[in-house]
Amino acid sequence: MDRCTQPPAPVTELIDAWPDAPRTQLLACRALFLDVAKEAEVGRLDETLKWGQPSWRPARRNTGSTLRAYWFAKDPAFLSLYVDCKSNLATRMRDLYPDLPRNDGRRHLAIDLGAPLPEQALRHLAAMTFTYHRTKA
Amino acid sequence: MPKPNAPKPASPASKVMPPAHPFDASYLDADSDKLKEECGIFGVVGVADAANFVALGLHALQHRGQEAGGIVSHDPQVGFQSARRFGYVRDNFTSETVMKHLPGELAIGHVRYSTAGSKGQTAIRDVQPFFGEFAMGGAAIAHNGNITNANALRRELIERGSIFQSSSDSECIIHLMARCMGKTIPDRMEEALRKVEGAFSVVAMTRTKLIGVRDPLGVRPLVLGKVGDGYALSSETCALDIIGAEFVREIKPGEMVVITPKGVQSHFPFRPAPSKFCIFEHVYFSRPDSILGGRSVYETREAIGRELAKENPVDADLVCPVPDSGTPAAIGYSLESGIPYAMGIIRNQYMGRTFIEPTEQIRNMGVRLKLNVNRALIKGKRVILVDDSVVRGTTSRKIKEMILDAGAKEVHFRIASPPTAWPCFYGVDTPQREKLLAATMSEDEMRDHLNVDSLKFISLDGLYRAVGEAKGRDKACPQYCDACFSGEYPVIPSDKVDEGFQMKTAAE
Repeated sequence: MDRCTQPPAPVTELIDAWPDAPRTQLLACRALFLDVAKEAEVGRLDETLKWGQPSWRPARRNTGSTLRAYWFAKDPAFLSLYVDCKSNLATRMRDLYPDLPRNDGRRHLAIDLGAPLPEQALRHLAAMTFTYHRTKA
Repeated sequence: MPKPNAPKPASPASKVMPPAHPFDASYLDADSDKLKEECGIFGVVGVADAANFVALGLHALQHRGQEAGGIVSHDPQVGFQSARRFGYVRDNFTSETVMKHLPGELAIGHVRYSTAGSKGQTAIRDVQPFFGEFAMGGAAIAHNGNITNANALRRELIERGSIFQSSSDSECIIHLMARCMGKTIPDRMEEALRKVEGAFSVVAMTRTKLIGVRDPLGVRPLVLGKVGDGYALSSETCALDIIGAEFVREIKPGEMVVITPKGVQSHFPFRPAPSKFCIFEHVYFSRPDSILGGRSVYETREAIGRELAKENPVDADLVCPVPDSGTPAAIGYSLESGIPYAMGIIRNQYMGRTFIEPTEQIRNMGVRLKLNVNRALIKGKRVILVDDSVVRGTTSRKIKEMILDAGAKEVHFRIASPPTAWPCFYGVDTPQREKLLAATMSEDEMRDHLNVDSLKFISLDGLYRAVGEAKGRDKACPQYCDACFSGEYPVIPSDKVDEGFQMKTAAE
């Protein structure tokens, strides 16, 4: 999948209804996720709405886990990110990036829409998520 | 003028060097005034009798540690087996009686140089690899580097009930792993290593996997090789050569590889940081036949000699290396300057570190036990002596005396590294700062102290150019760890600071 392509229609329809800041940030995250997937050679990413939220996961079996992102109108200053609660991804991210504004240590992380994109942390999160099963093999 | 903010010398004696103190064992060994790498690590998976390959690899890495060595192997029939011995690899891991107890297709090993007290005080319990039995199976680890928060970690672990069996900083990793929640050994290892500060290149093994990890700064080296149907991990490429393994690549800073005979899985479990590989690996630690960062160590050292000649020319008749570590730089100096190269000093290759208890008469022979001057060559000549470094200056002074005794007209020292003014806390045995000659004296004072006609060091920028950084050192973000020269420590040595070590101040 090329990073220049548009998100699938259901994702585009969803985020078009969002304000500029979260939409722009989500698209920036997406570009970064696609870039990381290419670098990590995990193959094509499945990009869908999972539980109504944009999600990314390597299409190849036993390769990686799912990363989701969502903006909640009731929590407008943040873009939420979700990982599988059965993985240790959130714990690892908490150890590595204690400076991220939110991380419950289980599945929920968030980035501040008013701050520059924490590119290093997001790249690392995407790399660990998309190779999660491959590295555990 | 003395250097500003320089530490006070340990005693007045450190300023006035005696010719050969009968009770100072450092005069015994021509290498006693060198910085010493503390460890070499090696591991193999997927080949029969892996421990034999490890023994060969450790033999090739013997320059990284001569005091002791150990091997752990695993075989499904007999489980984990371990052998740890004092002394050289060749004296311990070549006998059939030892090696037959180390069966299996998976093995790791370690050679070490002690820093705890004087030689001979190390206990066998400090010799690696260390082994731990976890809920999900056993694991052994071998560590090159130094954990700079080991004291704090150890204190905390002991308070929580850990029972340490050695005085080694590396044992903290095993105890941290025991307290982690990960479901697999690699998970636990990465969780444990995230709590560790400092420099670590680790080779570890489970029952089925060979694991390699480098700290986020990549201070110490670690390389991957392919041997037959299996894989090898090594501190240096020279040890891959000895077992006929093909060099695949360097393990990247912050990378963890989990290897089975089926392949290599790589990931990056640490927060990325700019690489700070130890620049002294290029200058002295690594073997000249190794490849570091895609560059031959020999060629780099020759380039250092060329830079040294450009920066510090002098009229002379001969360029002589202080063998063996000064040899490539001396060749480079000679090629650049056009002054003939000659082996003015000959090293006795059979004078090991484990020389038997010497008599006072032998002690007084000092450096002569290992190095001898080629008198016929030296007499009446103006000699440039090229050495890799000056640490305390003890050996340099003795060598100068030997050269003058042989009838040299002039002696000019050229040093292939900048003045070593700061101790290393990342896996190198260095004296306390006040014992480093360059910490207490300016270059002119060192020249007077060594009583040579001239003494010049390569600049830090010159060294960076020689290792391939065309623009020299990036002052804002140095491309290497050069703390021993600059005093800029990429990781705060927190244990040492707690003990009172004074970091470099803005004024220095």
